[in-house]
Amino acid sequence: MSYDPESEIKQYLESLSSAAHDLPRARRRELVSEIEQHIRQALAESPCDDQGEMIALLAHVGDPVEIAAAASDQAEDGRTPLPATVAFLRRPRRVIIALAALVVVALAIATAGWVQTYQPLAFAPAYGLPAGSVNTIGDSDHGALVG
Amino acid sequence: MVAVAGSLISQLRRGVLPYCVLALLAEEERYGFDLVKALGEEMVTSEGTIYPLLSRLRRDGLVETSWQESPSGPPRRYYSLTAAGRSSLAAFEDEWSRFGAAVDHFIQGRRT
Repeated sequence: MSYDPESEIKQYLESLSSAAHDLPRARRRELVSEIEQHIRQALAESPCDDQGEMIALLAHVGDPVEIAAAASDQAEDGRTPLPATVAFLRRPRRVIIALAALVVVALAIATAGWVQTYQPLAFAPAYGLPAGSVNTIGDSDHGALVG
Repeated sequence: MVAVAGSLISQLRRGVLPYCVLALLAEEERYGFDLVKALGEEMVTSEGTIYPLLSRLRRDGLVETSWQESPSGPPRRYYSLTAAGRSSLAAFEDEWSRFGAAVDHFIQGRRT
């Protein structure tokens, strides 16, 4: 396998970017670009002639997961962390699931309401029926409520 | 106790590292790579973790940055201390000299 320093760097930066997926996008981009510059400066100072040296250089830069974790730590103890709702909304799949759940619940409530409206009239609440219609069954309680 | 030492050192390091960075920047402005080299392996075990720290110091207003051309390669982002950074460093120096002296007192007291 031939040695391609650019593909090693690209791979490293990609794994850093995916490890840092919890960071706001601007912060993540800034981090990845700073690490890339750091790698390029390290390379300018001591060029890597083979894959082994490149791997050693990247090991010095650090484990992408560790760098991403340091970035989230600094984001949290610095100022306010991302509010839970915002963090939630940043995940499109979760939002879709939540909306689907909401629709199901709304349908269930609507169905229950519909069934109740067509119960025998003795159980019918005043709402859902025209005000006058309640009196026609001679129910004094309902009459009092409506009146 | 030996098993705890590694994590203890990393906790101590994490606590003092921001102030070591501020102290280095009080001497002169530096760019990230230069800063990492100056801090050395005792202070920075994983070079990349310095950038999230610099980012927080900047957001907290303790350091500011400027882009400058480099004699070789792409422009460099230089970090320098702000007035708030100077007073934060001064406060830490004060705390540290008292705290360090207290720790030394116990450790050296035991040795003699």
